[in-house]
Amino acid sequence: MKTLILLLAALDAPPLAFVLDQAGQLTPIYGVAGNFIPGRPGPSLLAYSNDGEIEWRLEPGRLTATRASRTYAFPTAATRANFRGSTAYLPNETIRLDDEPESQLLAGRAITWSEGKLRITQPGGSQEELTLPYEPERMSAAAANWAYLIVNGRAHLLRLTPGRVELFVLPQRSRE
Amino acid sequence: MPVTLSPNQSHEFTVRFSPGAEGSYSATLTINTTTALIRANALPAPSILIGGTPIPSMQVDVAAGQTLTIPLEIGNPYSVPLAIDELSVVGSGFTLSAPTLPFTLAPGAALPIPVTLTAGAEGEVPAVLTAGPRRFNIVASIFRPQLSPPKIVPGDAAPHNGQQWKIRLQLAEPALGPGTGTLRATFTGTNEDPAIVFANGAREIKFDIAAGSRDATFNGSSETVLQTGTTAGTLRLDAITETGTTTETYRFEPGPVVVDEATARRNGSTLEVDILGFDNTRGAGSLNFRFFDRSGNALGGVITTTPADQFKAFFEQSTLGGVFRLRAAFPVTGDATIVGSVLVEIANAVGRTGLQRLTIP
Repeated sequence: MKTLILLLAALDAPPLAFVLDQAGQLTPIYGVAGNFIPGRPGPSLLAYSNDGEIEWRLEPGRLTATRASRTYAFPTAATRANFRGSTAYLPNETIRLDDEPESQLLAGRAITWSEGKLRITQPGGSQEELTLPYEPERMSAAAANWAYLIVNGRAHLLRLTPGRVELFVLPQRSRE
Repeated sequence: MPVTLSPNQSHEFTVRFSPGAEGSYSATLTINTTTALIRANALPAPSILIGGTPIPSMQVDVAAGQTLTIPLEIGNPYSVPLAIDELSVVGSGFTLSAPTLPFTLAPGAALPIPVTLTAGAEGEVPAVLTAGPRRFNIVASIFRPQLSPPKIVPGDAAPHNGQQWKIRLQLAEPALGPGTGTLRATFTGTNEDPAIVFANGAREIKFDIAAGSRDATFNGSSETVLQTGTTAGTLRLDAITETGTTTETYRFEPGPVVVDEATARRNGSTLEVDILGFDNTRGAGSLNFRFFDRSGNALGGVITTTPADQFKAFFEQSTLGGVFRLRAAFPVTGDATIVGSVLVEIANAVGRTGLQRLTIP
């Protein structure tokens, strides 16, 4: 290596995660862990595939899938979709990003609940657990290191960063 | 005495009669030259006692919705046995726990006859306890219980920015009746911070306290969570009921930058450092980077940048408190794969925050 120069120091505050709230609206979550600020729900439907590597986004007129910084676009008139792994199920068609088997993972982790414990198996195989008296009613990926959980009727964000697994309450979006 | 009466004037007076035993009695009442014969028939009636003391009547205060048991006793004040063939209570919400009738009370004996009142709506409710020939009046004043403001019990007595802070509310004594109130958070800082909200997404949350309980509940949960935000300032909590307010004040002191997540990666020939954190002073000023090879040897000196103006401009337009995400990119001329890790320091006016060494995969 000959030279190391700081070219750019960009400052912003992009969403930390995206969740489909209990009304089915895509809501960006800003802030930092434990201090979340739900933003205004957007018009598009977005979900992370269950392997945590694909970001699906359904927008007016097209469906996009982004993996490893590459974005693939599929024209569609669909206004709703279900996502599972690398497959998007639209009302009249099914789009597969590739032929990989569908993953049972959530944001790249296996997450299970039993006997009051939530167990997270990290991509490297290490296991972490949290005490959680209630079985989650719903779990979905919210970002590469975040999962969205409904527990006992209340919304939560679960940080999945290895060694820093923690469950936070996700406040409701304030009325504007 | 003497009393002088004007024409057509009247004067009330009382004649007391305490018969020592059953039977017929008479007395003559003399007023100046006028006499009148008073006759009385004394029946053997039991006495009503509480704590062993005879009482002529009773008034009780009770909260609406509560059940009160009055520990009354029936006693025989005479020197001969006393037969009781009637014992009842009449009044809305009153019930009597009585021995099987008839029964006989020995001279000087007493038996418990607890009267239970289940209080309904507010107001005065009369009842009459009939014990043989005795009529014993009870008046219950039913009032709406008012909740006193509960004590604020924080999970962490010294909260700071960046927390999900658990809060409970507790009364000094169990509530007489069910009640509600509001827990309100008021934040005063150099800037507003929208992250400072309860779980309901607002700065106010309703609480309930059940009759007989000391602990407030928030939508069924025994505690609520308040996000403490990412801005230095003063937080006031008010626990408000109809009778008053309990207030606690907490200070979030200005502190060094807090980094929540930091990563470093190689993107082609460029090294990228991504930092997500917050500066509760909104005044971060300088950054130091020092790169190391895969063996841990320093590669060159410290690269310092002072993006104070960038931070200032960013926070001026930010509505997210002290939250920021900084992305620094370092193009490498030469072999970027020899770089194994980076040390980052970020400073504001309060101090310098050093991150754990970030490994570049």
